Amino acid sequence: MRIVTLTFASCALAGLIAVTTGCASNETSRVDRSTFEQQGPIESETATLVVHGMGCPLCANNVDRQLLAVPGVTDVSIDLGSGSVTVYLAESNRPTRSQLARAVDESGFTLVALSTP
Amino acid sequence: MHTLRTLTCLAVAITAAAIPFDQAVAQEAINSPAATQPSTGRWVVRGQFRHLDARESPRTGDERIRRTTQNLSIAYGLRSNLSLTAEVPFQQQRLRDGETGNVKRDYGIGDVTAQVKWRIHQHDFGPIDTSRFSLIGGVQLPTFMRPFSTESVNPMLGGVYTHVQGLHGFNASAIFKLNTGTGTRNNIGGGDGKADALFYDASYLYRISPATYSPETSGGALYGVLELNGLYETNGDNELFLSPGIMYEARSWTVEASVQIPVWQDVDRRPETRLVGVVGVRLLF
Repeated sequence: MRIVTLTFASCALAGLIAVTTGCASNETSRVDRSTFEQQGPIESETATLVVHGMGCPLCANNVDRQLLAVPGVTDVSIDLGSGSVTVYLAESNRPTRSQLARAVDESGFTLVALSTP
Repeated sequence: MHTLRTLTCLAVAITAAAIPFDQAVAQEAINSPAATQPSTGRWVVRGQFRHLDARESPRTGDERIRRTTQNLSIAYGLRSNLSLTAEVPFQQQRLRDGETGNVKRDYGIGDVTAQVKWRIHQHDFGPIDTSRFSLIGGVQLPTFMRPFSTESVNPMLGGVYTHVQGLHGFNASAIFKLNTGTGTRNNIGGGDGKADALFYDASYLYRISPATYSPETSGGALYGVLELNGLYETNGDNELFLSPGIMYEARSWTVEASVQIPVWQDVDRRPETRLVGVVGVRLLF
């Protein structure tokens, strides 16, 4: 009986891995980043990102923490109602758009837009 | 043996205290998992006290059983869609012998669970709206502390789906645990006996306040929680709980409380659970 259970569990695990590796889909961005790579540091004092999927206040903390870890980011303000994330930047050594987009990727949410004034 | 147990307790406590507290992810129910996880390089620490009151044991004749468990779980984000979680249950229990009336108390650490959560589906369709599915795989490692340890290595595998839309959150999960040993003496609460176990859960969370998020109200939320928590064991035992609860999340801390009420019990090989009370605190530093 135990051998049957073990065999069943092993087959289920193998099947699950085979299926999931073929159909994994993790949406992390809807922004065209090809233009980001050629752009240098952001010139304005703030940048506004629109992020989707932040289901709760503590979830939003992941975005906070990842963005604050980017050199040149001094503060982050989040409005869960609109998904708007305002990033405040230092006087010098400001980050690039790519760095901000990568930080949102690492937070596990979806970047929808990135704009500067 | 006693010295070894004390040393192990001390080592685990020191290790737990040394790990830095940070943030947590939420819209998670209180007694069941969600397809949420810490982001890359981040820690989630969760402490939960569970008090369980059970009926007499059909196996040992113990008449009144009370067990208090302090679960300490620590999760680390390996990648944005992959996390590692370790859970350590600090336990104490009080058993009254049905024949002699003698009371026996035990303290110790139950088996440690290590789990990997891998999110394979994510669709974020609004500022707070998301649907996610994660695979959960792990292993229960023995501490060899009687009567809390199964004294065997028990693998587990399952999946969890989470859907958050507006004020509503929904989670559904199933985790199968293969018990490779003879199990604990009383199998209190279930899942740690000789038979294999299937944990099946569904939960609904309703955001009571704020009704709508704004920059001023994005700092906290109050949720009403209703869960169905089930445990089926391959020896035929099956137990289903209805678990109402309440949870408040701030940006740096969370409190949660729940009661698990048995609504369906078909249990012959372990003590039936009368009631479970749960209080959890998440402190974020």
